[in-house]
Amino acid sequence: MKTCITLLKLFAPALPTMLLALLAAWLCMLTSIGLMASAAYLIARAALHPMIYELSIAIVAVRFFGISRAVLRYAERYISHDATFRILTNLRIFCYACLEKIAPAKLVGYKSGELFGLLIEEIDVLKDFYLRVLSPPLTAVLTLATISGILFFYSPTAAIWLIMAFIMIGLGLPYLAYHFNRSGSTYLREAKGIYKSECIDIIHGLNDIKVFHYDEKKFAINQRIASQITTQERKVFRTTALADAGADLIANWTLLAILACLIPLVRSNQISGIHLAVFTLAVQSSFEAVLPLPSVWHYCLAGLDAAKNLFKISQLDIALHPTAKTHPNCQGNKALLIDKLDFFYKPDTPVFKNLSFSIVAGEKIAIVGASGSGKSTLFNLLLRLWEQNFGMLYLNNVPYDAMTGETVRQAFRAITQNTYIFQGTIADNFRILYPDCTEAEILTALQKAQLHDFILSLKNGIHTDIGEDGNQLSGGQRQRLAIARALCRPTPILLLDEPTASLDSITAQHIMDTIIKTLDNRTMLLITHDLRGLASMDRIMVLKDGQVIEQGSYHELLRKKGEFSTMLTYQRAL
Amino acid sequence: MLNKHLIKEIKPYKKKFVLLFMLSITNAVCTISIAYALMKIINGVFLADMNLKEAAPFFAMLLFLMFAKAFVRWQNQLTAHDISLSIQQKLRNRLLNHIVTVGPEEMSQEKTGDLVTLFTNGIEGLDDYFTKFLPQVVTVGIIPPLILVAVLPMDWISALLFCLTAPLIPLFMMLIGRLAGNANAKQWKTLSTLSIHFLELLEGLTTLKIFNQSINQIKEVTRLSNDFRDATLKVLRLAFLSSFVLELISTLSIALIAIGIGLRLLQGNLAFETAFLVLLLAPEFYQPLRQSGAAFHAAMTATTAADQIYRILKKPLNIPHTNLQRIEKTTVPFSIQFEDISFRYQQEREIALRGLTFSIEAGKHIAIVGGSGAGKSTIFQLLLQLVQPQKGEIKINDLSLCSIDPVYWRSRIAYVPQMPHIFSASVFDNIVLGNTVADENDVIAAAKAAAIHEFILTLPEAYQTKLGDGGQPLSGGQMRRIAIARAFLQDAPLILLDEMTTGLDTKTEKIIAQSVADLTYKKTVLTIAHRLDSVKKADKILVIEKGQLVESGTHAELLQKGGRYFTMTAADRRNL
Repeated sequence: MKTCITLLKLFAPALPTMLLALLAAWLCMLTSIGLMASAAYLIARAALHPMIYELSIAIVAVRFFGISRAVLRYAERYISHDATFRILTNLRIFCYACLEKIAPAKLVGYKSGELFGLLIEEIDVLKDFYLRVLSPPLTAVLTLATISGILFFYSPTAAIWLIMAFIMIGLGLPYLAYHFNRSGSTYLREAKGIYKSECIDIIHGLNDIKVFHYDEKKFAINQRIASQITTQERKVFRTTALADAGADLIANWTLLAILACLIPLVRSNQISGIHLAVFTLAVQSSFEAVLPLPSVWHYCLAGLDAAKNLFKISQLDIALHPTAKTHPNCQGNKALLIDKLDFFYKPDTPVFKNLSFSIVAGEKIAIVGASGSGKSTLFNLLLRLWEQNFGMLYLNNVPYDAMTGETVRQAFRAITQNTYIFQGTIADNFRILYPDCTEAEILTALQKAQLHDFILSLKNGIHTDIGEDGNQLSGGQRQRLAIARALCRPTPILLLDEPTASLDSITAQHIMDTIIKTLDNRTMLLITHDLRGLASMDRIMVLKDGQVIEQGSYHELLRKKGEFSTMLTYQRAL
Repeated sequence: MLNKHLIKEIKPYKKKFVLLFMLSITNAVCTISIAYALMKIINGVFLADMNLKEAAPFFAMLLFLMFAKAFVRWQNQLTAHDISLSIQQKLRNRLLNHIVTVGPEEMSQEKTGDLVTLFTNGIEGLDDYFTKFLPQVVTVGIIPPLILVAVLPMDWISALLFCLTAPLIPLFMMLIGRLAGNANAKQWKTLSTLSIHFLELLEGLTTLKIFNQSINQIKEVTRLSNDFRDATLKVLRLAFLSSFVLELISTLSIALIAIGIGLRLLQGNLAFETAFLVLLLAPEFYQPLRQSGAAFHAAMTATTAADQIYRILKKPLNIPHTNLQRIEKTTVPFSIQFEDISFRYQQEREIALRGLTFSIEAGKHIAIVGGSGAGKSTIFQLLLQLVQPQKGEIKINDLSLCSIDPVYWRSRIAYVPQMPHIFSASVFDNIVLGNTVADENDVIAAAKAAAIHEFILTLPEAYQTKLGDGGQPLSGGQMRRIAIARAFLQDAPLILLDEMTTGLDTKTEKIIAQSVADLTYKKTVLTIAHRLDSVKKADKILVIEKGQLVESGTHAELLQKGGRYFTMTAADRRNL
């Protein structure tokens, strides 16, 4: 119910247009009734052999209704779709703004495909909410009011029959269909979700399925779900189709009842035979307004579901910025200070417990540790993509909670592990991140990342299209492009998360040398599991179980024969 | 419109289709009879002073006919839906079967998302074809002609008008359809580019945020949304236009017929009875033609989906050699020979292997080393018969690998991938997989050997705990151990081991190293090695570069030689 109200509120800005569309829909229905009624009048009148001029009005009316129905229908559809799409555009912008605020911290459970589904598909489902859920019942009510109003003037009983029929078709049948299909369609939605993930599971696991001959068992599971879906679908459809046929039957039988009401009136000369013919056809065609209603509940449920999913996203950001007590600025000459930091993704598995360390401006630091020791999480906290649960981070002695996320991020440039390559050209990839950067800047950056020669070998240089997610580039080239983007404009602190993971050792060494050279006196934090070549770092920190368990220069740590030297022993050879 | 693949799917349901036909004819007869009875009542009351009592037989007839019509309509829908559901289910199973049989190499060209969409929206989209389009074709073929036959003897002029106006509908539909077809294709292309752009904004959202550019992109979203709206509306406008024309033709035709019979009635050339019946039948005549516009639209969407489905189904299967051999089910290790093997993946320009030759004696431990993209994993793919070499021959104990039944052959291999796929199934099923002979004790023994039994017991439902998507998450080390448990259960004489590149914590590394040592004891072992430790122990090291063997020998031999291997390991030797 709450979802429904929120949803209706969203439709409010387009109310005038919507009302216009509704008016058109109503008039369209009336012209279609008018066409049949005036045709009946024309024929019945003609049967009495009057003078031809007495028929001229009827002839004009028939022609008028014949044309205006199609015109009105076109107008109605155009206006209503236009209004609906305007609303959907606003909804999409609203959703993106919500996502932007909470990404990536609150979106961990979501795959980008799902978010895309929200932004495109779910919003598309909502399209039907006005077009199929709101508009048809209102049109039916208006049509009913008009026709039964006129009918009431001649025969109240007949009008009551008509109203009852509309109520039964418009409310009774949809309710019954909903009642009998509710559990079935919920079950179907769930089963289809399971089926979908089964299919994904199979497609992702194709290799292992073949190698371990797992196909027969997997097929059996998949087929079982598919046949359950089919059985349930058959059941739901039986009811839906029955409701449709029932609507047809009610409409037809009501016509008979109304005829039975009207015939005695003709006999007692209260109405003429012409009226009888006109009403028969008018009533018959008025049912066109109510016959689509039995399937409304289906679109209504789908729309509400989609809306619920959307609103869930917009409500996520509430918990993102906990009101921490303001921390005073700290003293000293620290570029970064991490003070008693606690962090967890899930309460029972802490990533950091009481993590503290500090970095002096200009220091070059390597962070090492086994996978899962929280290295990448540390970067997320530094970039304020996530909020810590306890403790405080300081940037140039200013606590994070005294700054906005944007201000914090201005101090950093980062290459994270899943740095995204945008589609379009190489230049596009710079411009989306630096809207005002020059071609010279791009070329310098590419040079630093050892990508310059490759780019020059291309016919279109930096204006070469690199495809979706950079798929026209090799893994190493993509990585170097990501590095180049990060090096394009200097910032006080550079964060590097496995920057050279997919590069061969010689290129990797060259790039690291260039980065260190261009850094001058700026600060650098490097996450790596490649323990070679760390001798040039000012300091190495070993992370384990959410704490810094060792730190010092490369040679100090080797001499210590602690965790770092054990890791070196297990370090990959090649 | 009449997609030949989809029509072929109906063949098994001929009987039901005939039923659909009969039901449509009954429906047409009911429609005409209802109009006739209604006309009788109106005519009687209007011109022949009939009272309610005299009209009673007609009322009774109508009550029955209307019921019959509703029933027939219901049955008609059910039959069409039945056919549709059966075909959908069959296609789902066939598609899945085909994808698995074709195998990972061929399917790697397809995006998972696209494939999954085919299984869900794609196949469901076919529903419209079978439940809306085809029945509509039947209806159009039956109802208007029957009404025409009924009207012709009564009023040939109206029948002629029906005849003249009816073809206008398909004619205009075709004209607009051709126009719309082109515009449609162009617009849908715009739409799909826009969708990709949206998806990209979402996927790159974190990157944009790190560079403080995400808020700026709201402008871009606005622009995209507006473009999206315009493009959609453009497509819809054509759909509206075609329905506008259809409606206009049908309503104008009704008006034309009404005025015509009205005027002839006036001149006394026609009885009211006939005139009224024709008027009642006129909307019924145009109704199916009018509806066919929507049905055509539905069919168009369905055939697009069908094209995708049949494109996948047409992917060639690797037809295995006839009379495949099943080498003796033995646990005695094999010897392996690669003779001048060349291989190139379909979608890639680079050749993966070029004339690779080496041999492995039974029971020996071999380490394969080389940079990424050197062709190491291709060797495994070939050995697992997931791909076939374009040139050269692989021999197992002097028997050509391509003459051995792949299913049987794979059961003789224990493969430990770098990162196994964890299926959304129980722990037990994830270890057993396709193994049909292993019982519970075997699985527990395998888990114990892989040092994961203790961990499994801590899970909420032990071996019945669900893993994979939506289940219990596992760490990298735990997944690795599940893979090793699978390999133990396989109990095969040949072991293919792909070492992990990323480091685990020291304790886990030690445990896994011990399990692997147990697993490989007295077996023929091929290891794609990333650790100095495993290379040192190997009986032979194969150094692969650019799809070719550059050198081979033991650790000591290769170091002495001072070649490629020597340079590769130089850094580590300095460090340790």
